[in-house]
Amino acid sequence: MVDRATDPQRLKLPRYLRFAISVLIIGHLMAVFLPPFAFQTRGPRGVSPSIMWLLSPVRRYAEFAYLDRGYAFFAPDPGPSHLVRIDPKMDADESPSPRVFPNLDDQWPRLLYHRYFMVSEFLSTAYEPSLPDDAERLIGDELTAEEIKLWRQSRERYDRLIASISHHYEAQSGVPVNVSRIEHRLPDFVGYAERQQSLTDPDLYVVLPDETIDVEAVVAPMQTDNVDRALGRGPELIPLLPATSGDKL
Amino acid sequence: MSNRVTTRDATVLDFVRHAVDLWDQFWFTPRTVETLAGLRIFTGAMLLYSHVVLASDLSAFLGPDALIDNATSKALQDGSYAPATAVWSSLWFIDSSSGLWLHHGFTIGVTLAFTIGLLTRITGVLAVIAQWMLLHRLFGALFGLDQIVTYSAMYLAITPCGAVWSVDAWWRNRQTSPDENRSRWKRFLFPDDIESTSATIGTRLLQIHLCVIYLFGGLAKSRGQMWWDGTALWYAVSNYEYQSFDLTFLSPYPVLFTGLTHVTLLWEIFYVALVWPKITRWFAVGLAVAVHGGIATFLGMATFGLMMIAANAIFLSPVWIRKWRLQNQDASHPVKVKRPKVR
Repeated sequence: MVDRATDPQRLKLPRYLRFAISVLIIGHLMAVFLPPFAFQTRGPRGVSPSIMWLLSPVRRYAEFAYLDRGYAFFAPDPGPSHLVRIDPKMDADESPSPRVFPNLDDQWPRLLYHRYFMVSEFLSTAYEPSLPDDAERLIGDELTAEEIKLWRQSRERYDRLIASISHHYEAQSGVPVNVSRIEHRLPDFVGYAERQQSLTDPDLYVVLPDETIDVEAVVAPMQTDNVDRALGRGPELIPLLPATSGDKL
Repeated sequence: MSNRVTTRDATVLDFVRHAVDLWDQFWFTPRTVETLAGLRIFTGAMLLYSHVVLASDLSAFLGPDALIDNATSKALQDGSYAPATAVWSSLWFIDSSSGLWLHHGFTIGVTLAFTIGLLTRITGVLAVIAQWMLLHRLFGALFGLDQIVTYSAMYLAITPCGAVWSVDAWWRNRQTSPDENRSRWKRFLFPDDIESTSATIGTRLLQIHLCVIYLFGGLAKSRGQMWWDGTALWYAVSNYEYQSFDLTFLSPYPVLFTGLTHVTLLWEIFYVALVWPKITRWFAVGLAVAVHGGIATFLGMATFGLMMIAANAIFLSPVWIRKWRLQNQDASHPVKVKRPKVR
């Protein structure tokens, strides 16, 4: 019996070409497999060094070809949704009419609505509390200057997103706006079965505050996270896996 | 002693040869393109739909006044706030409305051509490049659909997926007789309807990529509490922003929704093991149709759900489709097709 693979009539390509293509295939498969692997190996001290080492030869290719994804759909657990509210800054005698996105009444078809939804989730993921102006005075063993720099960068990134969204609505309406984040919480199924609480019950919508963080209070508990930040490996700072937005369904 | 060494060397050599044979068989045994051609039409249509929907609100996502404007989009990748990535988009540099429409019109044009199989070899590559430009610009507004439709288009672009059910095939059949020797570039541009090695490579890459997506999708879920206690499905369907059909009537039936949660988790993790053996392939793909059909119907993501189902069709053998196709063609009217021996 002749094996199909060894049948020269079946294999059209010469051996040297099969070898060259095999090398390319292996490189591509590394770029497919290693980014989600790296995503899962993230821990308090960042991504596994061995995975990052393996990934390094194909990392830029994976980034450009959009292979650097985590595929963490509805994971690790399904969570609440996040919305964006746009409040026009009106005079006291005018009644402002806030807009919220995503909104099925404004965005149709569903795919367009979903794009707005992803922007609102992305903004929520990008949120970073601001640091007090004098945070640098706490630089020491528990908090390095690099950590503070990266923290401020993350906050600047969030501020820039807020400014961009504000500009979009201001360009449309000609009126200055205020942008805020809303969390739409999920009812527990036991409570839902007992009370039949509407999914759009106003109690389930919570305006998320924009806070200035008390660094002294959080330095100790934030230690491990700060190591990530210092090394540029926090969830929002990993360039290889730039956003969870790509993994939202 | 030396005999033993020789025997051992021969065994190792046999093992290596066998492994190389298996590798060659897996990657380089030519196959016909019917499955890929069908996927080309579906992927192209989905990509086209996505581009047209974007066009309906273009200024909200592209340009200097977008929700995430050009400069901000670029800054998210160029090292301003985190280490720079290799991501680059031509759309970062287009501020004028006419320029954006020209760019997007080009994207729609090449995607349409790819869908109908017009100069597929060229338009496939252009459609993928245009899609990359959009993806890198739309950072922050993307989701699962963008991933699977891009990967599908990427792999199709390296195959002769325009060899059947395409304008290219129509043109080729019109211009040439089956026995005519055509020049190399004509055979590249208007590929014959025959078995092809690149069709196998593209097919295998998409098959493996799907396995990677499911494996890590499942592993990511396995780190959550709700996927183990079975409540994840409830919290997914009770998410008002996602739902397109209200399934909250499931709340009094925890046995049902926790059971579905467990099946989803286990199927996703073990898809990679179940989809390759023929005996379990239908089970793995059938569950994929059920899970993604559910997402398409109930969780407001018809595009994503349908595209995932279509991508799973990559595990359908082109041999079956070819037999069906040639039987139908024989029944209607003869066509000029170079018929390979179907195995």
